[in-house]
Parts: sequence; C-alpha cells; structure tokens
Amino acid sequence: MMTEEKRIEWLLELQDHPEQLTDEQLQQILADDEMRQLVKQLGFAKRAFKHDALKNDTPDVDAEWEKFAASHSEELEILDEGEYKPRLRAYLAPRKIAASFIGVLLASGIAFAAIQVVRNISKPKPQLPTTEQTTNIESVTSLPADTVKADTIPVEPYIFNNVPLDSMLTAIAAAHGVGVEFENEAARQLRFHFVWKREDSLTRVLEKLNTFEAVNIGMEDKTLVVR
Amino acid sequence: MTNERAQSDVRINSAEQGGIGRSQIESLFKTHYTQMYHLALTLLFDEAESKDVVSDVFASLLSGKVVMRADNAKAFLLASVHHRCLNVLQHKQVRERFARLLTEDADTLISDNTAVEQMQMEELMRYVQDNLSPMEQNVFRLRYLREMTCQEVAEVLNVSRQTVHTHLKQSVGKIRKYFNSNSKAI
Repeated sequence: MMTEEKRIEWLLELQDHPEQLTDEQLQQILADDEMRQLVKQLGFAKRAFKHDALKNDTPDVDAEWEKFAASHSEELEILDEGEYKPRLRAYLAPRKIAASFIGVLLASGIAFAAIQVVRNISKPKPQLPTTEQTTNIESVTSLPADTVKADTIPVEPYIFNNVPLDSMLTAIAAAHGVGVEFENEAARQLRFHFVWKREDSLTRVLEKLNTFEAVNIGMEDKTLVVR
Repeated sequence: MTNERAQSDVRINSAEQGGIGRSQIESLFKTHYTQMYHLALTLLFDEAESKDVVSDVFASLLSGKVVMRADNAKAFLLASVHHRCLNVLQHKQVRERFARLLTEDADTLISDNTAVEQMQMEELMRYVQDNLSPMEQNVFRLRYLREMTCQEVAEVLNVSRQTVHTHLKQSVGKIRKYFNSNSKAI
C-alpha cells in the first residue's frame, strides 16, 4: 500500500516527465482510485488558482467584439438590414420547417425523458443530462405545417452530459429503430459526455462511441451489442 | 446588474421577429464576454482556445442553429461555454490532460452551477492563502498555471530543483489535506 507522501512524490515525478509514459502505463496509474482522486483534486485546485488570478484580468471586450464582427460581417450585415431578404429567408427557412416537426421532437423528447424517469426511480443520479439544444415552442407552433419536408430538417446535435451509457444507447437505438443488449453489464453505468449528431448514420455514431477506450459496441441483427 | 437585467428581457430568435438582431448580439457579447472567457480559461488554461470557444458560442447563435431562451441568456451562454470546453478537453491526449491537470470529465466538476463552483474555488483559495506559504503558492502557480517544469521553476526562482520539489510536495500535501479533512468531495 503506497503512503500518501510516496503517492504525491510519484505524481510529481510523472507529471514532470509525461513523455516517458505510455498510454497503457498511464491507464494503470489512473486505475488507482487514490491517484485518480489526487489528480482530480489538484485539477480543481489549478482551476481555483486560475479563477483567483483572473480577478484582475479584464479582456478588451470591445476589441474582441470588433474581431468577431469582422469575421462574421456577412451574417451581421443581414441582421442589420432588419427585414427578410431572400438570402435571410433561406437562412431561416430550415428553422421554420423544423418547427412543424415539433411533434416528432417532443415525442422523442418524451421517450427520452421517460427513460430518464425510470432510471431515476431505480437509481437516483447526481446529475441529470443537460443539453445545449432548446426549443422556442411559442414561436414555432404558429408556423404552417404544409411547408415541411422531412429531409430538409437540420437536426441539431443532442448533448449527453454525464449520462450513463445505458440511457444514452437506449435513446440512440430508439431513434434508429434497433434494440440494445449489454453483454458487458458493467458498461451500463459508464458515464459519458457525448455529442450526438442525429444526422449521422448509426454506423457513424457507433464509430464515434467506439473511440472511447472503455466501450466496444457492435451491431448484430438490428441490435446494438455492448461487449 | 442593470445591463444584465435589461439583457434578460431580450427575446432571441423569435421566428416572428426574424431572429436575433445585430444590436442584441453585440449587447449579449459585451455583457457576457468576460465571464464566458474566464470560465473557458479556468477549464482550458489557454487564451487562444478560450477565445475560440466563446466566439463559437456566439457564432452558433448568429447562425440560428441554436435557439436561446431570452429569460436565461447568461446561464445558457455559460453552459454552452462549459459544454464546448469539455469537448475540447476530450479531444486532447490522456497524457496531456494528466500532465496539465486538465479535468475533462463532467463528473470531476463540482457542479454545473457556475456560481456554486466559484464559491467553492474561493473557499479553497482562502484556505490556500491561510495555509500555504507565499513561496509554496508561487511554486504551485509557476508549475501548474504557467506550466513550467520543476527545473524551469528552479531557474526562475534561482533555487535548486530539489527545493522546488519540496515546496511543491508540501503544497500538494496541504491541498490534499483540505479536500480529505473537510470531505470536499469532487
């Protein structure tokens, strides 16, 4: 059993020469709960030091705005005109079209929420999934539905934030009409931050998920299999 | 305060109004930029990357790909920065994250609530100021915030590498004690 002092000394040496570590060695080091915890705590301390240092740091916001405005001049010019031009209409059209599919989005949202509710009842989680995507229902429900073409909808990415693989895959599988099977039960509770681009094919989504080292998901006969 | 309150009444991207206006974007940018940039810096520790993240958040608003509720502009913008920073971190090598103490997992962050998180950081810094000597604090800053090696810190401070190592070990030990003795779980 390594003493606290030895663990700290070891960490400091390793961090001073990270190039000497292979990924495998690093995984082994971080497999130690105490070491992983120490790294997390120091990571938070580093953030706290930075936060403290930033008290006297004020960026030149006006200059940053000028830079932003210059690099997005075209979009801003459109907004300056104050009324729809054909180009602006084309720009905004997908939003209107998407509005008519609010029912579909709500349905999938409800399905996902239901999954979360079941999960929460069986095992309370410290953090619910969050997403950057929001929908302004009030403004979109009044739009005509007859302009809709399903294949023109720009699907916004769904961000799973600290969500168990179990819930995440259930939602993704449901969207693609396939099932989910966990051969590796332990993988159910692995949590991920994952941006799900819903226009991606299921194969592409699986490719991205499989880049996580802890995950191996295959496809067998319309079922996602987690090994 | 007044500015933020006024900002919260701005209605963004209402389809009936034809989307966000230039003045609204500019006002949001100038009101929230500093806090967004600082949040990104405390996650990425890189000025260029942090500026890119904040700029990308506003670009996504401008493009209309993201719709923001008018009543929680600040919370939305900060959450967007947070998510984008996590994505940037997750694309970094494990080794780099380890060496630079970058916290990439959402569950390593104490809270999604920036205000609560900031209070916890400030509490830790009060402990640091009370319990770490100026030299220990300085060594920690140079080693981790300035990302110097122990040898580089030694040269800057004109002391031996062993002295730097000793101060750093003491700093880390005290910070560790703070978390463990106060049950400050992260």
